[in-house]
Amino acid sequence: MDSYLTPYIPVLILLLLAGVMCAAISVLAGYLGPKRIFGVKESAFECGSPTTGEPNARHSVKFYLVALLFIVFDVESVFIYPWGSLLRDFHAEGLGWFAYLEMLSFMGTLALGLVYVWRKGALEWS
Amino acid sequence: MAENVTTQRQTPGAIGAYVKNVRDTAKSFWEGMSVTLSYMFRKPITTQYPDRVPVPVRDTIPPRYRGFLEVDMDICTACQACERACPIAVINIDILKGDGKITPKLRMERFDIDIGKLRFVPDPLVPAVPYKPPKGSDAFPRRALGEITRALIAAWDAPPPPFPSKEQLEGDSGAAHGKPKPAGLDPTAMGRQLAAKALQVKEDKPKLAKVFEEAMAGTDCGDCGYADCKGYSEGLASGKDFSPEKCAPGGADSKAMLETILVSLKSGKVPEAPAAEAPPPAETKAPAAEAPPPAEAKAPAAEAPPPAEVPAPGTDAEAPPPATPEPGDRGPLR
Amino acid sequence: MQGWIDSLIRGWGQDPATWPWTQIVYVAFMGLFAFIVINFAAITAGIFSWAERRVAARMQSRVGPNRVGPGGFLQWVADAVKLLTKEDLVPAEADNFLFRIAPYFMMVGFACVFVALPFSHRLVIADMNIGIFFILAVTALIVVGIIMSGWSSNSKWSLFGAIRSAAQIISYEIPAGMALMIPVLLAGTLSTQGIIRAQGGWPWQWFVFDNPATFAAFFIYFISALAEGNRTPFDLPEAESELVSGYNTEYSGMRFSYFFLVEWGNMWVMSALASTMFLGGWQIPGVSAAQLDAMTGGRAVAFELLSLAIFAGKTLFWVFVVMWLRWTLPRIRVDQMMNMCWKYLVPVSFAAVIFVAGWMLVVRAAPAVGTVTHWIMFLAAGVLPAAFFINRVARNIHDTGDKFDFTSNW
Repeated sequence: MDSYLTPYIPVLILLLLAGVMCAAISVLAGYLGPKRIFGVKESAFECGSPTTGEPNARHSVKFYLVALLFIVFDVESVFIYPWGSLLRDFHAEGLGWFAYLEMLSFMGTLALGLVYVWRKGALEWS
Repeated sequence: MAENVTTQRQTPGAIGAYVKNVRDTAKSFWEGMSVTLSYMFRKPITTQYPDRVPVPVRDTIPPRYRGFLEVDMDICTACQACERACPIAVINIDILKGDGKITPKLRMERFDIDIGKLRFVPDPLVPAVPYKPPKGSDAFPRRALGEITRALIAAWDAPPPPFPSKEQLEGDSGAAHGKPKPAGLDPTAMGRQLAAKALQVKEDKPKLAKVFEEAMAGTDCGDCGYADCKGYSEGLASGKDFSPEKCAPGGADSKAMLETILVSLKSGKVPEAPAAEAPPPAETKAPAAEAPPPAEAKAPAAEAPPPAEVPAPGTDAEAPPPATPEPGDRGPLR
Repeated sequence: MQGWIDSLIRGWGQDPATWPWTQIVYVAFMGLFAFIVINFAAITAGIFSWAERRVAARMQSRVGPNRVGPGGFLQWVADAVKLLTKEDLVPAEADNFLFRIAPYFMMVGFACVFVALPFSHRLVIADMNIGIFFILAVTALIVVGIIMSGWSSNSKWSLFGAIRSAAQIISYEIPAGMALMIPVLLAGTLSTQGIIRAQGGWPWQWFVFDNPATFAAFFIYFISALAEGNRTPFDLPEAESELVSGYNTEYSGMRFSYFFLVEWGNMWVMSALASTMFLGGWQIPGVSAAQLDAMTGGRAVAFELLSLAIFAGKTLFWVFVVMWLRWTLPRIRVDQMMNMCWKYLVPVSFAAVIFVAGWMLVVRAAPAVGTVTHWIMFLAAGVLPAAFFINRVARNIHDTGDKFDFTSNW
């Protein structure tokens, strides 16, 4: 087997086993638990009164804004990881300052983005 | 936690506020966590009721505690005087007239005290309703105040009784099934019986008074204005009183019966069973319900106190204390 | 783990490189370890549920559950049995399929973290070369499960809770990722075991006391992990005063318990990760990792267990801190939560990464600076605050005329 992928065999096994165990316990619970279903019990909870309106009504746009910001910053921080794990090797090669300034420019751009959304008021929630 | 930065401009003031927020956060963590940790290392103040308290529960009641709500079921005549006297309607008594036999004696079905409404305001040593001993006894077996409650609490402290065996359970339920269910009284039929009796002893006033008394609830509650049932019945028999509706515990049934007697005494004959008052079903039902012969049923019913329907387990488990009536302490019922 | 199985096969007189059954043995052992790890996760979550109730009770001057088993320890078993026999209810308007599988996503994402999480010097299921990155990636599965459960329930509270939770978790993933970046920078590897090996056994050799930025990064990580685990004060997704129970409102019985199993199990994950990345992991004071590698026989087993105990001790301490925080702080508002993340943690974590990268260049030029900073940080940020804090707690007790009493009335 390809040694590069070997560490992921346990991941696959754990994934399958966790799913199977969950399903098995749920099935067991289904057998052990009572089954007395009637209308009121099956309805969605709304403090005891009948539900009004659609649950998937409009949500604040801020949540979507957060999702966008997350994409921006999280994907950028993913780029920093390879650099981070290789920084010591750069040092060994004598490229320490170069690597530092490279990443400083990258993170400076990112910080500019953060300052921009901050000044724009995209982070205001109150 | 982090307060909102009021301005977005990166002026020194804004930076100062920013740093202050961070400092406040750290400080509140520090203070709050030191407080909670210090509580973790102290002894819990809650009492683990009931098995890890240092003294038995019965000893934790303060000696001057006045919140005792006691009903001595053995001496209660279900006169409902306490229910009527209660200003905030805390007491709820359901009564059933008769116990399946020809007697207007009241039987208690329910005696509830709504503790939620209770205010514990009146001094329990000053009774709201004067207690009069039941007929035929000049003293009454009143227990000392708080005794029933203390007995109950002692029963809680005691280990629970063993589970009943299967045979016991079956035996009990069989006995309960075998018992005839007591039915209500048929006032019309009984009124006519009493009226017939009254006509026979029309001239003998004491005997006539006894007949009148039969129609009353017999609780000696004093609601009619007379001292007891005897006084009211004597008043009716001697012709000094003509109102049949004064017996409050007896209610409509007593009123109907007394009315029947009074009418028949006036007219000289027992009124025929009117269709409106006593429909045929009541007539046919009456013999079935009144199956035991009146003569032998009446004797125990008159003497035995009404059976307590909801006896507290503690009072049963504990042997009732010897009835030592204290002459000076016969006032309060509760 | 692979190396251990290789040596086992060699013990059987076979060469793992040529023996045809090697792969089968791998898979069989991996399956066994996976089974053990899932059970470990579930059982620790259960025990934490009991421990949290006891800790909460003590902090509120109560006694807590103490009836089932010694000190109430088996309470969690009783709870599990009860939940197992509860009705498994699916609301009529729910999306049946998504509703049923959403808890599995949570459980699978949660269980996968344990693959890369170390337990002791040799005990890690797979020492991946991208360990930290893998952990960050699979924890994101939990968000998927939360969104799924909230959407499929077709209930307002569930959806509100799920959206809040998603916004919270993805926001805090950024400071968490940046804070975890710092040990990676210092160690030069993404492997969890490699990061532990780069630290030392003594506290001043830990990354948390490496320099001021790592100290800040540790707390940034810890706060972000609290938020990602939906722990108080960041339990807005389950804010019972406004959202009933958040994304799991419509769940009942065993499916409901999966959510809480994940929540409590996450306490181990976040604490284990904190002790791996910042607190020296399983490193035994005075014994270097190379010395541990060289050990054989019973001595190796004894030190293996010692390293396991040290790791578990550090982890359990931070688990306790998580509980302690829960019963100290009130829940914060949504706007406070977002401000905290985007205006405080994100900029500070970026600054910390830049500072540490520069600091490494300085230390490379003058190694003595690094050593001195370790000691200064250890004394100024570790020993002194701890001493002041203990003094403060003792004063809180004595000033009210109370006394230290930790043993009575359990």
